[in-house]
Amino acid sequence: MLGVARRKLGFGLLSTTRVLPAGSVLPKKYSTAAKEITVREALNSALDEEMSADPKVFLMGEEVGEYQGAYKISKGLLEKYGPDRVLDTPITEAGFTGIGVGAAYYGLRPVVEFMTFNFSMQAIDHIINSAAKSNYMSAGQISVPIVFRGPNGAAAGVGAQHSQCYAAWYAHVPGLKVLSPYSSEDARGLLKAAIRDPDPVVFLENELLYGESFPVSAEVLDSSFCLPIGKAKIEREGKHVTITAFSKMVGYALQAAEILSKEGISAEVINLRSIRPLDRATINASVRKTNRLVTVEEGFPQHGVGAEICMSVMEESFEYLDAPVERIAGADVPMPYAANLERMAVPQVDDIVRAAKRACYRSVPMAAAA
Amino acid sequence: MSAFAAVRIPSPTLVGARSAGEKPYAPFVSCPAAHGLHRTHLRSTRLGRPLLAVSSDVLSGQKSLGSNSSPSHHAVVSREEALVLYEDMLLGRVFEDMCAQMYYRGKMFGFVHLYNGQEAISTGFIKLLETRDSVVSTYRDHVHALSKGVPARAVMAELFGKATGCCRGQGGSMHMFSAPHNLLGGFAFIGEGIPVATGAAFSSKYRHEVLKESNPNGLDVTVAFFGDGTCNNGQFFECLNMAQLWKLPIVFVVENNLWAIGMSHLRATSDPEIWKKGPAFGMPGVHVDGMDVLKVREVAVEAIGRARSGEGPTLVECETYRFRGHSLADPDELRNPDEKAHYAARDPIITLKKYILENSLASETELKAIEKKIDELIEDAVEFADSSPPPPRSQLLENVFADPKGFGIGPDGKYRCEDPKFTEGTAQIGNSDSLENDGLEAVKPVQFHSKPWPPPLLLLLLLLLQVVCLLCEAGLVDLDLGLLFLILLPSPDEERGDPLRSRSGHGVLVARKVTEGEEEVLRASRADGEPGGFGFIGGGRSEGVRFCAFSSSRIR
Repeated sequence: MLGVARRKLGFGLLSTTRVLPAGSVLPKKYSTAAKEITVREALNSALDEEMSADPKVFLMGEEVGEYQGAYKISKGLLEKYGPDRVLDTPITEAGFTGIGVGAAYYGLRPVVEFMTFNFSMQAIDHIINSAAKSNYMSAGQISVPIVFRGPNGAAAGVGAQHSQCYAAWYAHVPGLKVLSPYSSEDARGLLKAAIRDPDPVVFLENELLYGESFPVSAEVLDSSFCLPIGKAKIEREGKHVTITAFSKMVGYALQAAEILSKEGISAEVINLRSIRPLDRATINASVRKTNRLVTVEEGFPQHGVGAEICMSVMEESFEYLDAPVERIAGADVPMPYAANLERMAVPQVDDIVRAAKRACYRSVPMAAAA
Repeated sequence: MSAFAAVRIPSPTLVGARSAGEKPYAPFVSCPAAHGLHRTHLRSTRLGRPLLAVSSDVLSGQKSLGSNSSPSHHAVVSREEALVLYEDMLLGRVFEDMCAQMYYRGKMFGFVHLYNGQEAISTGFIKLLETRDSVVSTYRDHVHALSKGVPARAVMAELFGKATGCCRGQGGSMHMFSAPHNLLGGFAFIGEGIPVATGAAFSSKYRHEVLKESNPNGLDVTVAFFGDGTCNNGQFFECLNMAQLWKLPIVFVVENNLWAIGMSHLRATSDPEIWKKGPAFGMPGVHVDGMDVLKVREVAVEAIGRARSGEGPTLVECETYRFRGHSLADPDELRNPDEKAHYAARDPIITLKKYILENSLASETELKAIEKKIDELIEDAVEFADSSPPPPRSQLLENVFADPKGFGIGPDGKYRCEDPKFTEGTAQIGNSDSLENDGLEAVKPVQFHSKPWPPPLLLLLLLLLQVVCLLCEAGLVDLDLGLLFLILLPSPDEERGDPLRSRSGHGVLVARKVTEGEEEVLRASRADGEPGGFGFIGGGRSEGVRFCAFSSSRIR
């Protein structure tokens, strides 16, 4: 009881190991999963199933047809559905994105692939002005059921113009839904939800995750599997600190949580899944439970996703916070090319661990490990 | 620029455009520049040869589809057709003039771009379309909307920003949308409408080829209207390429009024003959006199016919002029008054009226009756708009999404979150009642199960303890008591199975003697640092458990 008293009062006088609730460390869903699929296979199967279910769905982008997809996401689709539904476009982002939007005005359901989201900047006028704002400007007469998808964020060694994360840019705009999957289950469920959704959806994948395998249950492989847009997932439950992340950073956060658990800090990892609409309810409920928050993202820090989450928590759950919110983001520089500099410009697992410790008022080494 | 020479301008009636055959092309363009002299230019002189209206091989040998043109006259129109054209052009003109009046009276605001002088193009093309065909325009879209069939009342109310407008006041002058009339906007960015129009044409072809929906009269046609300034924009060329590549049923109509706000077309374009850009991409390019509705109509018949039969796109350049400035905020100082006078003399409405009267298609009184009818229609539209209510405040947040719940629409067409088998992911914290709302509504504070105040029994015990402590303080009771009370209150997530949490919902009272070490620590945590007495040290939440710590000490 004394030990309880000490720990409850937060003095940290004892560091008795706690009795962990059963199953809190392991992710809940993966109990009896037998099958593992890569994110690439998940996306491919989702596209395949949606295209076969609804003949109005078609795919267009650069190299999606005969090249089988620049990252092989659309492999096999040209043979199956023909060139009328899998369109190789010329290198004209503004043009073909606008064509997709115009087709969507008429009820077709285009999936527009950008080779990376960096190229979407050439088409951003159409994504925002023609697609996102149309339902509002036309007072509900014209909805735009379009999906813009492609890899987002940093890959390895591709330099400044190919490495930017656009989550914060697109999530800023009302009228767009922005999704960012992490695992195969996320990829499948969210892409299917996005294609079925009657509004424009920006679907931010990650090139480095394409080849990673994740276990999936039979429910996920069912063709009517869909995940809700606007709901986050608690990847790992914890009690001491909440870590929010999306896309590749979820993997890093989970690794960090493992490391932290060995030091007695139980971290709760939230996979945001949906950047807009942001699942503020889940994040706030988690912070009210753990009282500490670390936000992790790959993009530039200023006006980023972490800034919005921090503000949301401050607005809703200020009195529940025991420590200032820690924000981990990419370095505020265009992505350098050199491998060691690139490693420093992107959040690493150590950074997350240190931030979590800072949030828990543990002493941390001052300098970042090189 | 200095290579231009002065050339006599041929009289307007000879400056007609034909879909085939030679004709001189002579826009009256004065150089707004250096010497202050008025110069007239014949573009063909600059090029050293007279212009051909169409140089594309594609169209040169072709029979015109459905056109009843003869080589040297205007197309012959029937009386009914002529009256329809007259009425439509007049509607556009009177409406725009009324817009100007209303703007200066403060009823309309923002950017308003008027179409005076260009009516022949809108009427000439759009009156040949069916309802299933679509029109995509720019910010100068009022008259396109009217020609396509959107009621004048709805357009006027939209301009006034009222809830009865065609977009309920949410679009405004530059964003006219009407789904029943297949008017796809209304785009403020120039060049933005062209890919959207190409996409609409794409969807028409897709529905025909892939979804196998077919109409006996042919494909749905899309007509895209845009200006001369747009023709230097990258998206224009991207779409010419793709439209021809995929043979889309679209007509690209350039309303070349020679000015992009204050930028003369000649100053901005390396090769000012826009129709030539069509053959560069493999489609026919046609030039037509945009001040003559019958000539425009003739070209339109052919271009729309081509698109409808699946032969692909056409680029039509219409030479026209806007009588007013770029917008109502434009002082219009850069344009030469002679140029304006020249085009005013070619006013399409006056030209058509003359044609009708000369060919005895209708009498003066009938035309006057039409004019009166239009005037009354516009007056009625203004009254309607004036008396309409502004949008209610609740409309601000509406229509951002087609699916407001944000969870998407399931395969059965209903909102997914209403499906009983809806997966909520694993975001279960607290009770699921608190999460029944979608994430888009204002976040309500999460409801916790736990009672914030201890149950009555506990309160009683607290009271008792307090009394005891007071008695100690007062010295009435000599108890060597250092009491540490810990009151554990149930945490919100009882179900987690932590053995430290109370399952019963009641508090657990712990009381025991405080050791000296702990006394030190407890003392340190108090704000006043004073030992002794009864005091509330602190409370809070740790690991989801709420606690209060009281101490009392008369440690001896």
